Amino acid sequence: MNFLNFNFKKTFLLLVIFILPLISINMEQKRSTTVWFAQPLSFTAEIFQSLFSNLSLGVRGTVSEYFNLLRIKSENTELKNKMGELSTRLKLFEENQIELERLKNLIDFQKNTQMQLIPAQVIGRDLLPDHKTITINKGTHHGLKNMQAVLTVSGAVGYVFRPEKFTSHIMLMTDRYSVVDALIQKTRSHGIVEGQGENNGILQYVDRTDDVKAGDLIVTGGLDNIFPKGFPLGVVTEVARKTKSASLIIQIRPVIESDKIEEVFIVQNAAGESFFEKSTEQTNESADSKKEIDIK
Amino acid sequence: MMSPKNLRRFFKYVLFTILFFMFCAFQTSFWSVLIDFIPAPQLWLIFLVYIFLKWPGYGTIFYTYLLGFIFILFTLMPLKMSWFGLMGLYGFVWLFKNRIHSVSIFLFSVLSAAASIFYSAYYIFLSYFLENKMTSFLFFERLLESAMTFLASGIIYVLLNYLDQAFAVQESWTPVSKNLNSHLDDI
Repeated sequence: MNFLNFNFKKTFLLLVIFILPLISINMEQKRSTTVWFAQPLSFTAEIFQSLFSNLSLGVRGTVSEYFNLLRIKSENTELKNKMGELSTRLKLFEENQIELERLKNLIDFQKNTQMQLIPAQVIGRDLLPDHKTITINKGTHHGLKNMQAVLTVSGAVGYVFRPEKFTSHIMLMTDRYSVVDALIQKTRSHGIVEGQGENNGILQYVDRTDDVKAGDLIVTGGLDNIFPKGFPLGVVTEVARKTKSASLIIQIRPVIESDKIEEVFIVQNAAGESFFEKSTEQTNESADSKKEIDIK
Repeated sequence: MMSPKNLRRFFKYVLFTILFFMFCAFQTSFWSVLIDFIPAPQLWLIFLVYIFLKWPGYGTIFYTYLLGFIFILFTLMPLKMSWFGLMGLYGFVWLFKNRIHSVSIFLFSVLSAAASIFYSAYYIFLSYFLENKMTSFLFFERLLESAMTFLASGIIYVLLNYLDQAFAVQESWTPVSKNLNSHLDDI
């Protein structure tokens, strides 16, 4: 019976509503421990929290990585540009260094010789692979004449064969039309070096009894009135002794690599200078030093 | 006083001669100095193949002699080798000239490469008979040169064709159709 027409259910609910905050006040006092019924919730919360935390971290990481990448990309481009610039400068520097050394050698050579030399630069090569010629930037206007010797610091190159006003064509000693009087430095026997068209030559008319070996130095003979005597021409690479021939056939490799010549000297006046003694002395010195090394 | 037609033809020859000089100089003083590890394309040969193919008759032969003379300014090759060589090349191109009617650039490139190979072989043959000391075979160098010639010939063809067209002598136009249709007036 319900005398007062009292709604118990409603009252109970209201009571719970009021009591719960009171209980919570009580729970606040033991904050360090989790009550038993809150543990699964807390655990679930933990899972979700860590999940979203990881997700946010991932997103943040990815975004930051993306921005980093953008930054790195721009930095990389910048660094690449700088590196390119520096490597170009370095190459230029190295090139200048080599050029400086080469020019220094040329000047030293020009200073130390009695010959009258005209320096010239190579400006072209032959149109056909069948001939070995170079074109230089000096001509009759600069005092060049036909059949003048052309040298570099390290050896003979060839001779002027078609001087124009401002340019000249030089027949290299490797051309198959080229013929140069030569001398084997060691034995002092004369021969004639003929070009073979490729980067080699052949020394002919040397007596078959001569003691010629691979590695012997061939120098200019001076009888052709083109080259000063004793200037290095090439090195013996092979000696063939044909049974019926009265002379040796000697293959030689020129001391100058014709494809790499950039500057040359034209001998305007040899002034009677002979390199024979100088080159012989140099060879003897190098042979002596080699012997010393061997003895040691 | 030259007629405008002859004047045009004269200027064409002058321009093409200058171009020939340029091709030879490019090959000897530009390519071979800067790019010395690959042989240069034979621009002079492409030029000659073009004029042998496109230009008519005797005038071209005499013009070739002039070019042969210019040619030896850039090489040690004697004049006899130059003229014999170029005439051989002319004969080779002439074999194809009236047999293949095509304006394809590819075909021109093939013909240029073939002419280059022919010229190399023919030069060795000529050298054997005309020179005291025969030339070397230089097989790979020549082959590479022909390949380079093949690659460059397309561009050169376009350039030469453009210039050739620019200097083409136009025949004066006659209203043939008017004569053809004149019988209609009688009807």
